[in-house]
Amino acid sequence: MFKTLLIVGMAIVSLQAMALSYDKNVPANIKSQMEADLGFMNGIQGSSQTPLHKEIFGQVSGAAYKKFFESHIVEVGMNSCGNGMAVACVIPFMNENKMWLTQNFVKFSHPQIARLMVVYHESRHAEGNNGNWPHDDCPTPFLDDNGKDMASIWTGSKLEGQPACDSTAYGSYGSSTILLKNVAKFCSNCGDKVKMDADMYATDQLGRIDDAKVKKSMLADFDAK
Amino acid sequence: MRNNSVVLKILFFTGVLLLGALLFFKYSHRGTSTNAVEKNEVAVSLKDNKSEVQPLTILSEPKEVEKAPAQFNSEEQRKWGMIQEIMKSKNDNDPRLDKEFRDMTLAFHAELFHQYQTLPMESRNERGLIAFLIARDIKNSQDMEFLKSIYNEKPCMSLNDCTTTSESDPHLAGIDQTSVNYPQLAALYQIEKQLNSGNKIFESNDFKDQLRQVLAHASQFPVPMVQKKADAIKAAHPL
Ligand SMILES: [Zn+2]
Repeated sequence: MFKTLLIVGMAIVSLQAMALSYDKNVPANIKSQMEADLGFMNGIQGSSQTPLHKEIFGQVSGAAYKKFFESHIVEVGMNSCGNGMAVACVIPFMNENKMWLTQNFVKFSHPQIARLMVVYHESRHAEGNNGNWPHDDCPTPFLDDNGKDMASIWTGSKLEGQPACDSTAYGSYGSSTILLKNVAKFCSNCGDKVKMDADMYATDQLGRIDDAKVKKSMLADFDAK
Repeated sequence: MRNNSVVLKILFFTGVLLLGALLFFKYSHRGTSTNAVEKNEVAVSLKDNKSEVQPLTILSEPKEVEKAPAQFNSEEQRKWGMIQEIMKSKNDNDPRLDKEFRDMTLAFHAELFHQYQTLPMESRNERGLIAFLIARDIKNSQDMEFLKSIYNEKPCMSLNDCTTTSESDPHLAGIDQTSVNYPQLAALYQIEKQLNSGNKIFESNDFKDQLRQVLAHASQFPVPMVQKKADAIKAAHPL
């Protein structure tokens, strides 16, 4: 009888530890990198947060980030995500609560914050009740602060007309910018490198906000306490 | 027999109750998610890393482990082992980065310059980590020369192979573009931080002059996002 109870108990403990369900074909090194990255996020402590961060994620804290992620993603699988450079994606028509990782997740030398930014950007696309926060088409022309076309550095492909912009602070580009800016500013147990990286990669995501008023309100939010 | 039947009933009801409690706990925390976990998938915890698939080749890892130079003293040897371990771990938030590597010896700097040169070009995060450590701990003109040399490199064109271009999906191509320029950007972000915090080393005319040269080289680096950052630093901190 004790043996049976022990088995029941062990089964329950192992089920409770099941934060994410990984497909069998997820390689061990990808799985452990994902767990290590999420483990870092889940351990973040923060001293404060901006109003937009509070609205979307709550406090700057590992508990809030864990809750956000686990309320969006329950499964992880492998996929090419449609292009050779992708790291991760969510494909809503297949399963909006599943995150797909590519081999690039461990193959490419991105800073840890960059991988996490993709993971949280994609998590926002898991919100079916918000239409999966689709991106809008970048304006034509789509120019940077210096009046130059926003384009790929080496291939020259322009962003204008591509579905790679947001006109809201609440979509995937906006929410990941807000997340990173708050980590850079308020994380109390992040090192210098992580804070620097968070600020650096947030700058990229902010560049995809194509509504000047929205961008201005986000910049004001980052200066707010 | 009768006793066994009672025990089985107790176990059955206990199991049902525990399972019910578990499901309540699990789904009450799931928000918008409604998808059940498929039976053919495996649950993992941090300790469960078994998989049927062999590990992938990692482009960013150094081809051989950098051994501590023989001339290092015991403290330098200890720290050298530590920084190699941190690079391999990919844990960018290792607290030892701030605790142990803020004030490094000149010999340690020199060895980091060497390692930077021997790392594969595609090791963007590792090369960027070295650029970050040196720019945070500028001590002499060799450090400034090293930083200048970062902007004399041929730009990396793709995380897959720095010598050729790859077509990225516009959706998240900005991340790739930031990562391929990470060493150049990391050095600039740290220089900016040093200037903002009023690092006294830049009060000397010699260092001011060398910093001017580093920023001039960064402004000439043929990637707009690096040029833009260098120009912004120059505008905010006229030297
Ligand atoms: Zn997106």
